Amino acid sequence: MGVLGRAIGLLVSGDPEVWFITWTSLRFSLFSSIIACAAAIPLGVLIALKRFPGRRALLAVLSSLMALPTVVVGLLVYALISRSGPLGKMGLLFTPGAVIIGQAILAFPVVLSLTASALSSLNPLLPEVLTTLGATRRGIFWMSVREARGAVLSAALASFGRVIGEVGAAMMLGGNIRWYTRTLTTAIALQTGMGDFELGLALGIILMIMALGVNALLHWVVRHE
Amino acid sequence: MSDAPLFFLADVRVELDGRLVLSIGSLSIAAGKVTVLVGENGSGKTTFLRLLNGLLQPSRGAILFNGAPLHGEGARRVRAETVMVHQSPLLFRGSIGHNVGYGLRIRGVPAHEVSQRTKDALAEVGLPGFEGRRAGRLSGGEVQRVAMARAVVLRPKVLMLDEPTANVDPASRLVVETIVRQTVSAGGSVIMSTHTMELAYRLCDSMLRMSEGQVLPFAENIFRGSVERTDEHFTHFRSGQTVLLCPARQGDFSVAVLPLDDVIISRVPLSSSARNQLRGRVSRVQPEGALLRITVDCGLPIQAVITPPAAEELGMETGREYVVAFKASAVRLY
Repeated sequence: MGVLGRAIGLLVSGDPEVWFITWTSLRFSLFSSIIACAAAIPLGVLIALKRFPGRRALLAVLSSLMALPTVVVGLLVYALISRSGPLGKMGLLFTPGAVIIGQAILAFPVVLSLTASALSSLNPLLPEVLTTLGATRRGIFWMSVREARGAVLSAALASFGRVIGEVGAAMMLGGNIRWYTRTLTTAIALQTGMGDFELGLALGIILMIMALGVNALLHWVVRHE
Repeated sequence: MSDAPLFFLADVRVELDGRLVLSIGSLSIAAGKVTVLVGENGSGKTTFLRLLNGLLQPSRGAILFNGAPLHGEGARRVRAETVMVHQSPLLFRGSIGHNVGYGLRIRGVPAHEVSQRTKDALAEVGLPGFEGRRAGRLSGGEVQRVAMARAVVLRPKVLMLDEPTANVDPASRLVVETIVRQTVSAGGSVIMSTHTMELAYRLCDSMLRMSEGQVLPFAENIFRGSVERTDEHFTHFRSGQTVLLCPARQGDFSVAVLPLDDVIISRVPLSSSARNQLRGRVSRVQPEGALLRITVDCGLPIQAVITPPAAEELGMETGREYVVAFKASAVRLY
């Protein structure tokens, strides 16, 4: 009870480090989700609306990529951006940019797969009806996303949920640097390891509230669409 | 309206998944008219409409729209001037107003005009004040009418309707009929497919019968007119100056249909059971496969098909006078 009390005390006292870490996590997750959505939603629409050989196989692969282990992504991106890697000159390792790249890669298949499957279940007549009314390709794209907007929004939320709670890529690529790349998950892992349960628990409560909040929002969106 | 056909098809074939689904030798569709497609399910009516609307590319052959190839320059015009309403219309999520105004909005029509024209179009299809309703809460007939409104709000020159009266209530059927007539009287053209023969005969200027992906030569005379009187034996149907004796039926009919096969042509009046015998001069003789299609002007043009030996025996030539005979029971009223 003493530990929990002190953790709650940290939360309500407005400890600057607690809130900085929270803000860092939010920032990284938001940026990486937005990047993933910007790339994956158009591609998802394309896969859903086009008929081409190997489409089903591609959807299956994408769906399984949703379970990409975070440390593997961390490892791959690390190999790319470490000093001796092909992109080493950019000096990205242990920067916010590195974390965002890794998390965007994690979020990408989530958004892509969920968007493609949501749009695949739209009425196949939709593009034709839009075409006969005079829509261009761009118009068909926007109307398809609009028709499936609940599912697309769910995909975006799911990708945010995926990255906010991951620790592997954030730890390996960000390096858990204090006041710089320390996120909720990396901080919890570190503080717990050091025996600082109060801070770990305080951050854990925040993380849980966020994860549950995103999940609740997701359910609400699905119910109302 | 120019004399050039609205659509002209030459040697068009459509294959889907390696299967030939449509094959048309040569066909013209006139502008400013109602062209009705009839035929069994799967006979190619929908494919034909999609082809004309540019939604489907032919595997072979050429289609001209107002004289321009449909693949090139005609493609943009066909898109701008024609709209198709599908058999099971798909409404977008959101309000009815959003649905009906869609085509106008993407054409950059100002918002106030979109709103006004949407209102007008909904009133035209008998759904005034429906703008704010949700698309998901309409009956089948109402969905069909909203889809019609979404099309006519664009004031298309060519309206294509795929089975507009399938699965709809009588009121919606009446709306379809009104819209078709209005479109044509405003100078537009309508191409529609239907299974409702009564509607087909009442509305059509020309009828195309489709079977197994082919357009068959049309094998019926269609006479427009009205019922003069009905006695205990016959209904007297007047078309122009000519009165046809038809099976006695009560009703307000406007079309009499007579299959070409049921018409007999002779030099002199026959002593037979045929209750209709009309004199007229041959105005046209045209070959149709192994047969000849003869048009006799009896005050109204009546067509018949005969074999070349019969034509020879009758000394068939244009301008010559003949007697056209058919039984009252061969005539169907709609």
